[in-house]
Amino acid sequence: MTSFSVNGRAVRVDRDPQTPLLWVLRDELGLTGTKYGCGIAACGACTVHVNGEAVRSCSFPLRAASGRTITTIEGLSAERSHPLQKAWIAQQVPQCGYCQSGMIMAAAALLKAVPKPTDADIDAAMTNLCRCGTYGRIRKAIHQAAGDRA
Amino acid sequence: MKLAPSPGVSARPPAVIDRREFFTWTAGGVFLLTTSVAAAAASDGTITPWIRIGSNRRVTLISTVSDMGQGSRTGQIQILADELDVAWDMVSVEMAPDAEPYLDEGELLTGGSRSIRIRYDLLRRAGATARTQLIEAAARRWGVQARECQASLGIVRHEASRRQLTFGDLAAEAASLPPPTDPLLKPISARTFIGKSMPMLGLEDKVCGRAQYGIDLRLPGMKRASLRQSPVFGGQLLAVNEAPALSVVGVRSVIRLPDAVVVVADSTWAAINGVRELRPSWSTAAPLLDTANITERLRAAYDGPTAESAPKENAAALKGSLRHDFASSRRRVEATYELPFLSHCALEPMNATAWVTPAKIEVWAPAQAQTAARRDIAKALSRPVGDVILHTTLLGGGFGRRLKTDYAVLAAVVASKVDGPVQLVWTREEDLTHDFYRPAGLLTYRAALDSTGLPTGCEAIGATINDTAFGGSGPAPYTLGPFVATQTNVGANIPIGAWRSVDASITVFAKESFIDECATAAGSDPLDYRRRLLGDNHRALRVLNAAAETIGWSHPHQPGHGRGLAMLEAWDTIVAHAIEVHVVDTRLRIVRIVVAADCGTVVNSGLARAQFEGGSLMGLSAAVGEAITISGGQVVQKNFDSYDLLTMRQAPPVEVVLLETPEAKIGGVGEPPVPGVAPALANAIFAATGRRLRKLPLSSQGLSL
Repeated sequence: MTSFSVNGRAVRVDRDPQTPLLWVLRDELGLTGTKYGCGIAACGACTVHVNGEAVRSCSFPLRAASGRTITTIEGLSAERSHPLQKAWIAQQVPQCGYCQSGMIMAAAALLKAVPKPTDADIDAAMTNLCRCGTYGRIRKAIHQAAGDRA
Repeated sequence: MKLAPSPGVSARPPAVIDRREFFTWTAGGVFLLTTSVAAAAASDGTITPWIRIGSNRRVTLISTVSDMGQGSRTGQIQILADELDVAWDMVSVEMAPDAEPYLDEGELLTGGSRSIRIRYDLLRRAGATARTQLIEAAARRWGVQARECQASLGIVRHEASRRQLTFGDLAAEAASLPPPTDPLLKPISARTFIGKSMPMLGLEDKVCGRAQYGIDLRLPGMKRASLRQSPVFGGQLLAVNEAPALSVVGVRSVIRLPDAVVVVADSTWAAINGVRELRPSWSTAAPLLDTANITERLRAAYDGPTAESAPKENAAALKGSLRHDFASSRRRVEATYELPFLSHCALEPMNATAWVTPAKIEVWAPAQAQTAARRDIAKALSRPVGDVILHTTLLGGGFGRRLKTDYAVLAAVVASKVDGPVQLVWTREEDLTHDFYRPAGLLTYRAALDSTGLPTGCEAIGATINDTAFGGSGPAPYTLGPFVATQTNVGANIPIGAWRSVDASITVFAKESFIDECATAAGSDPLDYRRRLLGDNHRALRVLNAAAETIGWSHPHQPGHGRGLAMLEAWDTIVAHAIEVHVVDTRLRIVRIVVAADCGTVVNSGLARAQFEGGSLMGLSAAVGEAITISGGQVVQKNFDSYDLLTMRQAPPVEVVLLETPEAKIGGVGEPPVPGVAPALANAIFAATGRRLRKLPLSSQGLSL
């Protein structure tokens, strides 16, 4: 039995401790906003926060979540109120949208660490993949959200 | 109107309603303007029931478009809302059933950059027809002339008597009125939505994790499944060790198929783990292909006896004449270009959910091709097509991959062997190694140049794998003199499909590189040369000039930099890319990408820009880093660690210039952004370094971003 907190809720999960957190979130806890893309931590579609840091949950075993605080896209804010979510809508970032949960979670961790990121900071932190090619709008939205927070 | 026995796509009321059902629904207060629109269409049979208006004033657009992030549903609402005269938030979209009159050449599918192109006139006319009837219904009720009434934001008003009625109040009466034979369409100046950057439908759900893709579907009692398919194309399952898989906690069963093995479990992870334990063995299908021998086969087949698809009846004579001119010319240019297989890599891996009972086969799939999916599922399970109910979910990317039906058929086959619903999710490894790839190709262009440096004619000779199409190889938008293309199809056991922009992703790289090579041979500036080739094609000239001016073609650039151009005319759209690159040793720094385009009418400027931004980056990704290679009959690239997709760090801003020609046919914007990037970049690298790159991806030539 592994105990941890997800989006402010205490949960206990009785699964093989090697199970990737991604599949616990999606299949056991019903949190399908976190996406499966590659399973090898290459694409970032599964990005969540573990104790505030961006983690690729497809390669993060359940046992490592024990006692930790997990935040998924569903718990990032109430009513899409996070500055990044507002900026994502203002810049009309998503196309298919499948990568965007992970993008937003990666960006949220970046802004927490670097409130006013440069383009180089964004390049270094945002290594998630987007096949629709929304990178330019993501960059603008991160800058916008950083500005709104000032 | 004849209904298919079970055209259902949705649990909501059916959108195609026959006469009897029409009255049923009318009594329920929700109805289609079936009579009006269908009758108006009687002459040409294309205008059909696209609109449903509820008594609550809600307007539903019945759309044939799968939502894969391209924004066509939003664009269709704009077209309809303008002519119907309703407020933006009154309209929602429902997926059309797989039945006439919603089919495009017999198929319900989303592709070919057609979603706006083929529905633009139809939806405008449908909206105008409905508006005219709603106004007429109000006029009759009030005993006034229709011309004294106005419709606006879903309300009909009679100003003189200060009376008003909502569309919902009037819908039933309106539907019973004879439709206007020639409903008045709004002038451009009166449009509210067309051309505006209206927000994409469903965007809010995509920023908070609420958007539900195929892989997110949850049904009570649903099992999960994953699979391994024969790693060698054409291989068959020989043996599998079931016991270790069945011992994985949560695994329920192992299903053997002729060329795949499936594990059914309580959770996706258990299913994936179960598959890992299977250690299946496969027969191999000789000969085992690899990339080198595929290229050799392409070369050997070049211009060979299987050559076909020359465009004209007199192709042989024309070819002879062109070759004679070429052989006897003193100024001639010939170059061969080579392109690899490409994978779609939609970020949502292939998946579908199915539930098979004696009464019906219900499938939920992120599908681009509904008719084909239903047909193929029925065939695989030996059931009537009418038994198959297909629900189209949101798509986490399509790019042509989901025009194929294999993933939906497999889910249905698995479900037919399982009690209750089952969701089949492919791992990325399965997705990447069992795609329907953009074919590899070799393409040669040759031309003799006249004394002014322009081609006296042009010949294209190509060979591709499992593909005979040659779209985009022709002269348009240029005038190149007599032109003939010869395409050889080389059969090989590698699945091939449409990859965003299809043939043009191959041919435009060759053609636009070749035009640059002709310009070099003629001693001309590539912009001036293209202008001469465009002659009096003013529309194309405007697009080319817009791209060139925006990138500052006539202004000097820094040393080590170079600029390149490429054009495209396809999908009724004209595109010009202009790229500036800085080359330092083997490193490419893209300074700017400019793309100018004229698609006739821009329905949604924001979403059209998004297509040109994203499509250009997809083109850049393929040009620089993407290649599927084959070894021992298998795809070498198993995941994103070896198939190099463009990243944020590598992605330059894309500057989009949208031009319009309102009197021209409306063009597509989904595929046109992709093909021009590779040749514009190769041309820019040549300008910067003098090195002509004729093989993609550029990473295979030692270059990287």
